[in-house]
Amino acid sequence: MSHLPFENWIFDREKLTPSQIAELEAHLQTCQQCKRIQTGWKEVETLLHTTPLTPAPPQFVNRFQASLAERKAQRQKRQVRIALFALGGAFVLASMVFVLRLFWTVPPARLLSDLIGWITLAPQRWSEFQYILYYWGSQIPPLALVALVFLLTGWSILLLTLWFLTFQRLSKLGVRGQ
Amino acid sequence: MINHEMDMLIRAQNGDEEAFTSLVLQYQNPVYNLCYRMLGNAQEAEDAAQETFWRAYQAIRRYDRNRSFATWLLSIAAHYCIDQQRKKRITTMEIEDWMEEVIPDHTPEPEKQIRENEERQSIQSLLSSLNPQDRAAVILRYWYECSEEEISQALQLSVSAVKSRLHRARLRLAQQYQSQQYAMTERIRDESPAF
Repeated sequence: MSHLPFENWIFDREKLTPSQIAELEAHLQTCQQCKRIQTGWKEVETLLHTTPLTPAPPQFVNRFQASLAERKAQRQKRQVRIALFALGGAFVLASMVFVLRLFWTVPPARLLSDLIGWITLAPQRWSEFQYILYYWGSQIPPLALVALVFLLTGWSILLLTLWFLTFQRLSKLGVRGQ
Repeated sequence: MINHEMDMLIRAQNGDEEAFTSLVLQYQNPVYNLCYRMLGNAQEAEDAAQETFWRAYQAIRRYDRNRSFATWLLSIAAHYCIDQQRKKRITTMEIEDWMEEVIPDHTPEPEKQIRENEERQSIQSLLSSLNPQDRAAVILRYWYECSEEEISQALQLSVSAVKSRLHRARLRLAQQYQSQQYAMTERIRDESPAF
């Protein structure tokens, strides 16, 4: 026996016309299979309509807030790591380009001889540098020397503070500042 | 959408965490219920609901205000739960666990609590007989009164696919209910001293 369209009609009873309802009822009198489906569906439908929403457990929102803070902190750390990795990668790449260009434009033999010459002359250069420092140290007036030391220290402190604040901001707010 | 909710949504889209928290407060029950009906376990449902709100928080700027916020949120929850179910490949053992599970109820009336728990177990075991997408369609249809169009948007299916899934699910639920009733009658008859 064909159960179509009766099987569909059982689930959409409210959309049926009076003649279709009569036709369905007549079919249900003779078809045990459809009758069972209808009986089962009526019970299930009642259950579906009467089962209330299961409420979220107490303190759900508080746990969400705590979890949000933790996840945001993790995301920011990941962003900082990615940013630092990208900066490091860019630096390494630029260095490699520089070295490759150097090897491309200057013959390796000349590079090697320059390096050996530089290493051999390094102690002599160091003593010359010390002499220059000593000479200018004795030439510059003591007050100007103190001012120079203050200036250099001031700039160093300023730059270090800026670096520290930038690092703090990146760690706290993330790269995207969110 | 009411003005207050729209205001909260605009604020949340502009990065106001407090506004987003008030949306969580407002939608915690519908989202949790969907996750619970999909997964059948209180702890997993809580984790899934928390994950849903986190995903919503991350994507809130992309939310289109012309769409229903509830449907958007339930769509995130449904997709997450369907993925979880696919990963998990539920075993018969776990389905039995669902049936055994009793959700703590805060009502002081024990009879009412027992009746409600029986209903929960019954509906949960019926839902567990459906595949995840059919289950999501049924939950959205009967607990949230979503239209077929809304379900199709939430589950990213065509309207005809939703109709077909709902039909298949209803048929399966009716048959499953009949089997349960038959099994229960058999058990009572076997346990009865008269037989």
